[in-house]
Amino acid sequence: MIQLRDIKKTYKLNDGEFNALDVVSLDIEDGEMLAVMGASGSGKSTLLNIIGGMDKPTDGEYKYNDIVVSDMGNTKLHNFRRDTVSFVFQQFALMNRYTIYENVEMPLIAKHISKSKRKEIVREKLQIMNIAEQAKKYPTQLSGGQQQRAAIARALAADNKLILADEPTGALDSNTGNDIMNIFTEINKSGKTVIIITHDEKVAKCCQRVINLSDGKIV
Amino acid sequence: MVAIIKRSLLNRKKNIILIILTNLLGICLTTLIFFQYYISNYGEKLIRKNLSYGTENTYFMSYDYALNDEMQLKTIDEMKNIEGIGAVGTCSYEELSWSLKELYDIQKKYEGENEDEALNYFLTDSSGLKLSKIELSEGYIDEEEYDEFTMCVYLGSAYREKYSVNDEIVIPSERLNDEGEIVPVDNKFIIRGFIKDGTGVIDTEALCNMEYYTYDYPIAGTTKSTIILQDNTYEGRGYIFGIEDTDRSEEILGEIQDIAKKNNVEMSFESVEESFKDYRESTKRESEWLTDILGLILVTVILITCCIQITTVIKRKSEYGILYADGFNDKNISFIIGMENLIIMGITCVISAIVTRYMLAYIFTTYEYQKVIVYKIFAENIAGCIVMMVMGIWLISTVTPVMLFKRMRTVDLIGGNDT
Ligand SMILES: Nc1ncnc2c1ncn2[C@@H]1O[C@H](COP(=O)(O)OP(=O)(O)OP(=O)(O)O)[C@@H](O)[C@H]1O
Ligand SMILES: [Mg+2]
Repeated sequence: MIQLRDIKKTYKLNDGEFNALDVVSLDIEDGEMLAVMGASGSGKSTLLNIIGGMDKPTDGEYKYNDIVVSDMGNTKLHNFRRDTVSFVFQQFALMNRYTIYENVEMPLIAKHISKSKRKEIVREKLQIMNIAEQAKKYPTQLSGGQQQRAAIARALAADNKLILADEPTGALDSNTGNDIMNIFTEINKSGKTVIIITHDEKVAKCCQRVINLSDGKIV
Repeated sequence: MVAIIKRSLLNRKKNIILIILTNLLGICLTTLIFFQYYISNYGEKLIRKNLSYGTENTYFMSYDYALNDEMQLKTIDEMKNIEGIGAVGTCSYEELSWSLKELYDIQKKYEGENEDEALNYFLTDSSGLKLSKIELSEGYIDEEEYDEFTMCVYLGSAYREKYSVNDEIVIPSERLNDEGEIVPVDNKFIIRGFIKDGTGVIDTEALCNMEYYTYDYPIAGTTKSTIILQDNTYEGRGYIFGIEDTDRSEEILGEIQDIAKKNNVEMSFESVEESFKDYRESTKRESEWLTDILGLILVTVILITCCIQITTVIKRKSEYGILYADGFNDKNISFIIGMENLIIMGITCVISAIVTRYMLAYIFTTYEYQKVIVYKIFAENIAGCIVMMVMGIWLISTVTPVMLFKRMRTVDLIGGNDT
């Protein structure tokens, strides 16, 4: 369970300060599927990055399953991320110099899983995502939809409880976007907590709960 | 993680070749300069260690060669009788000359026909030998008479497997007699002893011409070294003398001058210590200039290499960001970057070391004994320098990106997901 209490994120600018998140409190239950909406610059990504341990709040407390994440040092935070969170990005964030197979394999290497086990898991996830034939190709040789499937396969391979997606359909046409959303729904059904940032009402409709951000505040 | 490093390396082959070439060039140049510096120091050290009478009390003579040879030899002979003088002699390093081909045959017999290097040896009279601290592993040094066709030799210790002390080797040869006819003659070599490995023999010729022979201070005692004792019937050599009774130095030097004057020989002498001072003085400016160049080359190479290394890693920052997002921590990322750099610098180090070693051996060596010196200097000084330089580059090019990545947020590394 995610518990955010009075989270503040302040950026120092040349002319004063800017509150990207302005006292946000939010609870997210395990197994929930949540959509985060809001105008550009409202602080959605900032919120997601804090939940995922990619960024630290300036103020406030973030607890995950009663462990205080907001106080963690770098190494603990990295390990929290490794063992708990998987990200899916709008621009896929695949490493272009590595094959799809190798990209999907990365989180497993980080988790020190044996090679044979890795092979088994990567194969399975690629199969589920329907891109097993693309395993040996490089990201640039794939379509946007296929790349996002690969990115999701990577997120699934890690087998983490928390899947965070920052506009996963933003770079895709609406048909492909629907496919991807179906996948997320399936993932959520398998028991994982899914948080999706989106501008798309249709996407938000797939989720059990929608929160709206405006100028760093939940409205 | 090994797979990541491997892929990373394979992906920057050209880059790695560039790094290796830059380093190779830099290391070769620095080595050359270093070598110049060390070899002259090495020579001085060797001489200090090996002069029986010490550098303060050993003098070399220079006189007008064109004058009367006979009178020179007479002077040398008379000098030997001065009370309190240690030894007056000459010892020079020679390449095989025709008259000594027989000795070459011994070496051939011993080394096998494949050995195509010319025989080098020290040619000396017993006094010349006395001026160096010769250590024998077996045998003796004395002043027994020997003639033109009986030569006493000291061989490198490896020859002990083949010969023993007092063995005589007779090699038939021929010579021109006084009537101009070719007559057969037996050349006899008597083995007087075996030289201990690492023993130094001073080349008095080199010592007398220090300005020209900065790195020509030979060392005997390898498997191939050979010292031949010969009657001092050859002239125009670099003679040195050592003073035993140091309380009488002034007196002895005066006596020598008197003898020279009496024999009408123009002669001057200088102690080895003094000549070291002069030599150092004359090379000081040069070596300062060399040190500047050396520093410049080193800094340039280190900078270029670090730049290549660091920019390569930073150019791929999004990749490292993704690795962070995939769950790798600072330690893992440091390991990946450090290991990758280590492998590159390791390859660079090994290649540079091999190339430099052979380059030195080929550029700076005419004689076998020089190779021994070159390899010794390489092992004692240059190898360490190369390793230190490479380690420095490794450290800088690993720590810089690692520190940078630690400070940056993962989202910024990936390049932002809003784009
Ligand atoms: N490193 C930073 N320094 C200063 N300001 C920042 C920084 N990162 C984000 N911001 C600001 O914080 C605010 C929230 O940014 P955030 O990326 O969370 O917005 P968002 O809701 O994800 O927008 P979008 O829909 O365009 O992705 C923005 O106004 C942005 O300009
Ligand atoms: Mg955003």
